[in-house]
Amino acid sequence: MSSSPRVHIIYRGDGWAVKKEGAARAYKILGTQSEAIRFAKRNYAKGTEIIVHRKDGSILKWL
Amino acid sequence: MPGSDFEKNVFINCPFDEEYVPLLRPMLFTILMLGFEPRIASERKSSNEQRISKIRELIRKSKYSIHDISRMQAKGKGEFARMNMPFELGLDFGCKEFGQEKLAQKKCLVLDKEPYRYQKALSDLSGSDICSHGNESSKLVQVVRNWFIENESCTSLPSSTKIWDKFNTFMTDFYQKRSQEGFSEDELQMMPVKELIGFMRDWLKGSSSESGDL
Repeated sequence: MSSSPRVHIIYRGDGWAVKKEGAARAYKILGTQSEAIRFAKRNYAKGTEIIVHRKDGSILKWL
Repeated sequence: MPGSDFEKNVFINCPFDEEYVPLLRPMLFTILMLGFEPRIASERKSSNEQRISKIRELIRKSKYSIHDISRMQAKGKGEFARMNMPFELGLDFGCKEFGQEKLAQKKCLVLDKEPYRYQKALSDLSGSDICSHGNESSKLVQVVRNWFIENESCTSLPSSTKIWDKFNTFMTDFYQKRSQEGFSEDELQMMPVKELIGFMRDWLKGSSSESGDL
């Protein structure tokens, strides 16, 4: 398991937030879940756990 | 047992089915994170106890209540409307109206999926403040949180965004840890409410003792 903080892709009413666990605010809010996933993969180090949530907060997938 | 405090108890009147789980979970989490105690008829299942007796007891013991009437409509032709939710809403209204002393202080939040839709079936409630969640989990968190701000004399409750983000992190830990313990996807989806509340409470206790957000 990665020792760096997890990154969550979380639904917002106006899009999808990319947020590092422990951060006070989202790093970025994108229009779609796919865009948010691409952004997270591009901007966080390899090995960082990225958790993609559904709109209801449950887990869609771990990357 | 937690939940004997009238001032902190929140009676929840909602459907108990798989379809409603995406709304029930964040509702329970929000109530706990705001320092209140969710009380729900399914917290205690006993074949020799009438459900209506449990409901009456919970309504009497709870200063707050949340009634979600978004599912009372019949789904198909020939089906009956689901009247339990409006019935329990009526019981709660009656308890406040005709109850004495602390029962007269009761406050309730009525939820539906769309604004004004309830007027077609419950026109007696016209003019009341009914909040809509649009069937969205994150919106429900916002509605419930804002209602507590309006009805409790406190200004330092966490934002709905913070609650929602924290709920998402809880779901991550919940699924990860419970899966490792052998719970199947189905078991996690339809976990008994009392058990789920216990997990949430323990997780919130643990997360508040750590530094940091989310």
